[in-house]
Amino acid sequence: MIEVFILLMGAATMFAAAVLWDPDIVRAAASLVMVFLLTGFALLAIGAWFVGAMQVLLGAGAVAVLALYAAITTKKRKEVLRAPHAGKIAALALGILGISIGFLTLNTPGVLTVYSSDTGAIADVLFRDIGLTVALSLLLLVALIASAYIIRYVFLREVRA
Amino acid sequence: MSELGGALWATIPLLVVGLYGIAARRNLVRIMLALEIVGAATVTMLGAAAAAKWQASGEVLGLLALVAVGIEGALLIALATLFNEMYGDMDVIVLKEGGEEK
Amino acid sequence: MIGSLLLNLLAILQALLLPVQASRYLSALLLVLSIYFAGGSVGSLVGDAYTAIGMIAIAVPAVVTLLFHKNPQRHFVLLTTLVTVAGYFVVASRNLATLAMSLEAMSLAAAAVAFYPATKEKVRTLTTYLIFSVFAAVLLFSGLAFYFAGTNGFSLVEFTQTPTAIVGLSLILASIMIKIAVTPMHAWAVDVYSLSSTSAALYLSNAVKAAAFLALGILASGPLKAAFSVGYWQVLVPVLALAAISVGVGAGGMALSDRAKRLLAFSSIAHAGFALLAIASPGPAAAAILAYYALAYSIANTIAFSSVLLIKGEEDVSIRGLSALYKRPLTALAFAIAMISLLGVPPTAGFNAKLFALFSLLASAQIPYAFVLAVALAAVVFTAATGYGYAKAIAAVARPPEEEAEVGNLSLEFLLWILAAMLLFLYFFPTLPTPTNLM
Repeated sequence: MIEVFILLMGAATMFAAAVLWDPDIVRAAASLVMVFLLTGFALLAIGAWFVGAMQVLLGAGAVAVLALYAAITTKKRKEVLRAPHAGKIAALALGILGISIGFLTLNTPGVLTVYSSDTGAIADVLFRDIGLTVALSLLLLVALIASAYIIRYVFLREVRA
Repeated sequence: MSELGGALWATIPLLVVGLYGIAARRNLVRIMLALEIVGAATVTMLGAAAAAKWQASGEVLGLLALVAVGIEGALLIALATLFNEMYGDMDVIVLKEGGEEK
Repeated sequence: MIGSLLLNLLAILQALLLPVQASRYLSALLLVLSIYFAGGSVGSLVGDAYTAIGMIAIAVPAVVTLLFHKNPQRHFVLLTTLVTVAGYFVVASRNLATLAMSLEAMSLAAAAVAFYPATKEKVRTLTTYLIFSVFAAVLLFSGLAFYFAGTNGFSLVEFTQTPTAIVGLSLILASIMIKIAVTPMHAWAVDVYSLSSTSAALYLSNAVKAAAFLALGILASGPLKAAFSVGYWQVLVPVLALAAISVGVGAGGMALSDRAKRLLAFSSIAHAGFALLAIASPGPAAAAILAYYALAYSIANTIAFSSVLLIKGEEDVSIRGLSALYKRPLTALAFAIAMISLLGVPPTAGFNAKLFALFSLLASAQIPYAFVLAVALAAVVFTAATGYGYAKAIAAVARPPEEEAEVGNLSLEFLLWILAAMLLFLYFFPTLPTPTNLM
C-alpha cells in the first residue's frame, strides 16, 4: 500500500503549498483541513488506523477548524504575502536540510506489510507508564490556563475602556 | 531504498514546507497553519514508522505529538485573536511598526 | 516521587482556589517540600540525586519570585507554580516521551509568564517567546519522529545505530539549544529577559534554563553517549562551534549594554554556550557537570536579578543605578559574589562549573584535538571578555550613589546572603549527581 501512501502524501504537499501561498487566509485554512484529511487517509492506507483516525478527528475536525474559525474572524482576509529578506536564504537552507535528511533516512529499515493497529497494545503503552500520563495531563492543564490567561487581556481592555 | 525510507521521503516535503512557513510568514494565523502542517507531517512519520516496525508505541507518540502541536496552535490562535482585537491585524509586523492600537 | 506529585497537585489546586496573599506563600512552601519527598519513582518519573539538584535549581528562583514579588496577581502565582511543576517533571523524566511532554508544558506556561503583567507592552515579549517556542516544539517533535523511526522506540538507552536516529537526535538537540538560547537562536532571550517584568525575567532566565540544562544532561547520558560510542561524533562539531560563538555574542552584548536586565540577558546567552561545552564527552559525567552548572548559574543569576528587584521593583535599572546597593554593604557583597561566580572566578561555584565544563570538553577522545582546543581557547577568551560586563556591575555597587534611593527589604536581603554563602559552599563541596534509571 506504499503507492497509495505516497500518492496521498504528494497531494497533501500540494495543499500544504496552497496553505502558505494562497493570499486568501480562509482558503488557506480550508486547505489545512485537506492536508489533515489526506495525511489521515494515507495513514489509514498503511494500516495505522488508530493514529490515522485521530489525524482525521483531532486534526481535521478540531485543530484545522479552530484555524478556520480564526481565519474567518480576521478583519483582513486578503493578505499581501511578504516574506522577510532572509526568506530566500531560509528556503535554500531548508531545501538543503530536507534533501540531506532524505538521503540520510533513505535506508531506514522497515517494511510496510499488512499492519493493523492493536488498541490493546496502544492502551498498554499509554497507561502503563503513569509518569507519561501525569506529564500529559499537566500539559493539558497548562494549555487551558495559559490560553485563558492570554485571551483574558481582550476582556480586560474592554473593561478598562 | 527501504519501504519506510520511501514513506519518509514522501513526508519530508511536507515537513520542509511547514518549516519554511514558520520561518518566512509573519501572519500569526499563517504561522499556526504552517505549524500544523509540520505537526501533520510528524504524526504521519510516526504512524508510518509504527506500521513498518509493528510498534504500537509509535502510534501513541503520534497521538501525543498531535495533542502537543495542537495545543501550541491553540495558544497561537489565542495570541492571534488578541492581535485582531488590539490592532485589527494579525501580522506581527505591527509590533515593529510601533503597534498603533485601535 | 508519589508524595512529591501529590504536593505538586496540591500546590496547583490551592493556587487556583485560595486568595493570592495566602497562595503565594503556600505555593512556595509546597514546592520546596516536594523536593524533600522526591525519592522513589512513578513510571518514568524518577527521583534521585540528579532530580533533587535540578529541583533545587528550579525552586530557588521560584521561591524568590513567589515570596518577594510586590502585589502579584493570582495568575502569576498559578502560572509560576505550573512552570515549576513542569520543570520538576523535566528533570525527573527518564524517557524521551515524558521529557518531550514536560518540556512542552514548561515552555507553554513560560510563554504565559512572559506576558505577565498583561499589558500592551508585554504583548511583544509574549509573541517573541511563543514563536520561538513553537519553532523549538516542531524541531523537538519531528526529531522525536525520526528518532523513533531509527530506533524502534522512545527509550533513552536502547539505541539502534542508524543515520535516521542520528538525524532525530540532532533535531532534538537543536530544539533544546533554542530553549537555552544558543546563537543563532538567541534573539528571543534578549527581548524577553530585558523587556518583561523583573519577576518574570528572574524566573524565566533561571528556572526554564536550568531545566533545559538538565534535559540536555539526560540526553547526554543516554542516546548521545550511545551515538558517540558508535562513532557519530560529527553531530557535536557544529554544536560546539555554536557554543563558542554564543559565549562571544554574550560577551559582546554585555560590553555594549548599559541596562542591568539587558546585561544579564546577554550573560545568560554566554552561559548557555559555556554549559553546552560539557556535552563534548557525553555520558553520566557530562550530565553531572550540567546539573552542577545549572545549580551554580541559577543561584548566582537569582541573586543578580533579585538585586534589580530590590532597587527598582518590576522596572529596569541602569547599571549605574545599581549603586543604590552601596548603602547595604552585605547585600552589595552578595551581589559581587554572584557576579564573580557568573564570571567564573574562585572561590565561587561558578568557577568550578566552568572548570568542569572545560575538562569535559578537553577530555573528548573522538573529536579532533585541534578543533577541541580551538573551541576551548575561544570559550576562555570570550569568557574573559565577559569580565568587562561583570566588572561594570561590580564597580557600580562599589560607588556611592549619586542620588538618594531607598533600598530595604530585609527578608529578601537575608535570603540573598544565604544564597551567596551557598555559592561559596558549593565551591568547596561540589555536588555531582548522575541521572539513574534511564529507561
